[in-house]
Amino acid sequence: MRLAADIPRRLIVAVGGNAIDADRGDDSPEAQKAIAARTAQAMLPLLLLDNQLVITHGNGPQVGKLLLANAIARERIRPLSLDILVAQTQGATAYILAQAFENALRAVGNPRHVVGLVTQVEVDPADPAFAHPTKPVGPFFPEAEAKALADELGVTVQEDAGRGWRYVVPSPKPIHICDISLAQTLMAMRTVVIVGGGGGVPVVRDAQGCRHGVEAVIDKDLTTAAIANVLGIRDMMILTAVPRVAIHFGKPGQQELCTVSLSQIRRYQAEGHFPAGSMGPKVDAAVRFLEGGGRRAIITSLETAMPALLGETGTHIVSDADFAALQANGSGSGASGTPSLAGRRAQRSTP
Amino acid sequence: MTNGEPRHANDVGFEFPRRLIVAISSSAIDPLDGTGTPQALKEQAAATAQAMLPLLLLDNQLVITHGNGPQVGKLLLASAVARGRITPQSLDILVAQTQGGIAYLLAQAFENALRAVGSPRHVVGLVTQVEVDPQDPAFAAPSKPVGPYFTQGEAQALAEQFGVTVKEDGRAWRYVVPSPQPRHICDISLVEALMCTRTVVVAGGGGGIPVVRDGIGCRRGVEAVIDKDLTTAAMADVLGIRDMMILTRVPRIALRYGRPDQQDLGRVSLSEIRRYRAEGHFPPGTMGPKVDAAIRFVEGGGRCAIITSLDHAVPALRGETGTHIVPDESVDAPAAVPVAGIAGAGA
Repeated sequence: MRLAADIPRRLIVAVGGNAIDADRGDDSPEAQKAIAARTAQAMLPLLLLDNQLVITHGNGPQVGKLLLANAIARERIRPLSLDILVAQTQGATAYILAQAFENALRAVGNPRHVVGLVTQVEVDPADPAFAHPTKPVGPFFPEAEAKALADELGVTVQEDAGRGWRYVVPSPKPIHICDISLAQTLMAMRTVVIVGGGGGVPVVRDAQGCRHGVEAVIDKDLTTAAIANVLGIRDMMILTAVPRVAIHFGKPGQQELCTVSLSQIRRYQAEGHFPAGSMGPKVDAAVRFLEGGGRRAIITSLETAMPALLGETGTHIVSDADFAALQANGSGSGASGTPSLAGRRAQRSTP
Repeated sequence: MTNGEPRHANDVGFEFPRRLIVAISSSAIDPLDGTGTPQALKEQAAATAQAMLPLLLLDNQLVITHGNGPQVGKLLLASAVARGRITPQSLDILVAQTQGGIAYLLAQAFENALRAVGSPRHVVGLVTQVEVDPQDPAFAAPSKPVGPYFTQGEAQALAEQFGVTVKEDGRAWRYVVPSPQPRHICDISLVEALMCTRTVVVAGGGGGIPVVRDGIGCRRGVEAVIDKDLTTAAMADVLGIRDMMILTRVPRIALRYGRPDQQDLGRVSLSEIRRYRAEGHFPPGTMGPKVDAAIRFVEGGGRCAIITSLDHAVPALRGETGTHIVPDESVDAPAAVPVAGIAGAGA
């Protein structure tokens, strides 16, 4: 029933760090692979579209475990810097995801390739984030242990909402995706490309063009938006825990958003509807993506990825002009996605 | 025809292979004492990049593989030390982690070395799975020591808790794991696609993530490590790369190594090197796997396998040093790839 015209020719999808790792409970290798297999099943309809597809992913739980192992084993093994740890999580997560995705494809007889690239992302050494580390990463420590680690390893620690002490690191903005032309080459061959994992390995570039890793983490959704803009991908999908973004979330007046214009989402943003620790960065990334030339940003859950792409659910953020066109079509406030999609749907429902 | 492939002559002053695969060892990014700080790892990678720079500047197709022994060892040790608080990961996942970490360090160091001389060449790291045969006899007899040294008590506790195999290895106890042969390099067409764009491709790290494939083509990771030199030879074979270079600690391999009558090898035929191997000149823990990989490579149609040190990589490619293992029919044709002759050929 799917119409080819509904499917964007190029698509970028950001999956969460929980795509291969449970937030709590069993995190054995077998459990991680089982979660990855479920993620692959949910993504399979997207993988089977014959379009150009780029996937990014989070790495919160994974980098947290490496930081904890670093801390525990520090007497016997020299702790590694955050850039190297992010690169390690890129390797492992790309492996687990690529294997699960290819297995899901092979199980239905599809030979499509999936490849993982190690990705550096440049940040500005003058980014104000470096002066104010604010992003909590890694495990929770008791106060005494946290302070000992701060002394010994020179990390910054901070109390986090009564739950314990955590490392805090700078979270600068991505300004350049390194070697992105290689992702483009692979994408154009219809290979599914996993890239920019964990927001990318954070690096700064000197005047000569030489790069150096820095102690920071980059928001993976902002990196996804930057990759989409530089690759000219006009449809971006951010997968999270809920099918739609809501305003007044968790309050009596909670209202889920279907199709929203850029101006409207900015307004909600300014009104403080999207908390910094959860939906905020995703909405920020969607806004930046549209400002950078994107056509449609969809925020939805893993399970509803395909229905959302078809316009049946998800929060769709579009330019003001597109939103007006949708309104003129009489479908703007509904769950439908793009003007072209709405048009097709109208045709189909005509007897 | 073993010498039919065109060679380039350009302003570097010598002819070089159009396609080349180079295996570098894990010491390329990790000081041998194993205690490296992140800064020390990066300095080591920068030194490696300086030594490799003349190769990176050749305008040819270049694939780089690397070892991961010390790195996977540190992850195994951290896994063991932190096991009360963090669920240990399986060896396939740890190998994937080392591929990510090392590919990052190498790609950054190589690109920095290139940028410093004004070259815009790209270097990319790919996460690589390598298939092994589930029936490989290695699975029945784990023999490859990996990771850190433990006391007997600690080793036996780990063996009981994780079901790993441990064995006494000279001074202490270590894990031993199966080391099956590489049978298939997954998604190698992507390496080829990038290589053809003149991107330097870092792939097959640590011998690749070991996986087996079932009847419908689905893969799953296994507890094993694959020899990186054998994986390098397999990659060369499937990519049609006819020149392979394995970088190690010595400029040439030797017969009767370490004895007064030690004899370094320059240009050797396949038959000769097979004979030396049968005579036991190449111990399994050091030069053995490299010689095995070179033999397999030449048997598979390779034109020349060079074994030399990082510092001698470029002179060896020029034919001035290194051990060159070639098919029997080309060993007596010094005009083709003379050990000391190429230097002048392109001048």
